[in-house]
Amino acid sequence: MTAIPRCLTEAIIDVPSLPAVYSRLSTAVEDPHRSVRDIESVVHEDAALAGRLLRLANSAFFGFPARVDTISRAITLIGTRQLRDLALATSVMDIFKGLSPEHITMESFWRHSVACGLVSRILATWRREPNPEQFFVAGLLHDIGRLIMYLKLSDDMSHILDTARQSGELLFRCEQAHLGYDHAAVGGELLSRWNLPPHVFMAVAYHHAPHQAGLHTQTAALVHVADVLVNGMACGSSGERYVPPLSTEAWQLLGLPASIIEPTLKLLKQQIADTLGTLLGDGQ
Amino acid sequence: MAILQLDALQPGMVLAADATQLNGRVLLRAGATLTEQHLRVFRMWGLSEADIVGADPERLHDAKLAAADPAHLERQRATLTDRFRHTDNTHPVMVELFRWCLEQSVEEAKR
Repeated sequence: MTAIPRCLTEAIIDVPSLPAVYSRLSTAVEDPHRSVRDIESVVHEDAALAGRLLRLANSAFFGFPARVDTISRAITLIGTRQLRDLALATSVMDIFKGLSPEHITMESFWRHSVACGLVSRILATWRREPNPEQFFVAGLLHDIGRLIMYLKLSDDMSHILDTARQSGELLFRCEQAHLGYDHAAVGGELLSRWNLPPHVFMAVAYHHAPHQAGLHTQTAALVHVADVLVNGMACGSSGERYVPPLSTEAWQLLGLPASIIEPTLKLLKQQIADTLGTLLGDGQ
Repeated sequence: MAILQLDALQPGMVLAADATQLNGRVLLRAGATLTEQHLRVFRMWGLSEADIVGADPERLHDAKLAAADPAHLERQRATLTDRFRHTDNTHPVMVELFRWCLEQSVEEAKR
């Protein structure tokens, strides 16, 4: 990862840590002696989280034919690791709730993020990956570093956005030119401090240079492709106005035919509104 | 022969090549005439495309765009060209993406 200066690391430390319920859930999921019922009781410690997960289980995100009424039923259908990953997704979105950077709207930021998460998840499903939810999390959080930069480096980001607008250059290149690092490095740093699994923070840190992600090149490649597709559709925005260049190697690594692009984007269209509403906590 | 997307497949079309999944498993042999039942199986097994005798995806795309107001279409094309200024738009993925975005903007304008 590109080294990021100390002042920014300090800014990252200011960001609240993940809720305690998430680490308890994570421990319970990894412990082979804990039952579904144990995990269910951990989720129920946080009523808002339990409610959010149930709404997600009943949304177009899964499209189950029958109503899912209990967390234990959701765990049976979705899986324990998958449920933990979704709990992580909603916990992170909660942390940034109520903030309003001056450069973008949070609605637009989360629309872009959720769309990228959904496309990552859909691509993972085409590849028959065993746990597509972890790709959802990686895609969802890929631009989280930029959100922190908008909040902590407000003036710099105004300048960078202006430069990008005037020169027609890609925003992450302007970040690198002006600061010496970009939002991908900041996001990777934050997520590794939160002790998220390496494939998540590495995919986030290298979503603009997937071939540098070492062991985690494949996850990074998947998020990279998802980001290109979502920027193409201009589905929400984290401030970028242009489609980042597609890495041919990253695409080849996925081993998917170009004909999956259209069905992927169609699925995204079906799922985005419902998923975004559920994760942002509408209709409570 | 040409590759058609799953959604463009219709009963009565004839396969120009074996319909295979990504892992190489053959679902239906070349020469078969598609039925409603086949399409259901394709959907269930996650087949995304098939090679069809005499099909032309370019023509399908053009037909979708032909319905659009030409001035609107030109504006949309210009907007997209600007948005795609940093990408290699001859790459098959980018061709698909650009085409889809253009079709979407035409469909949205219809509503």
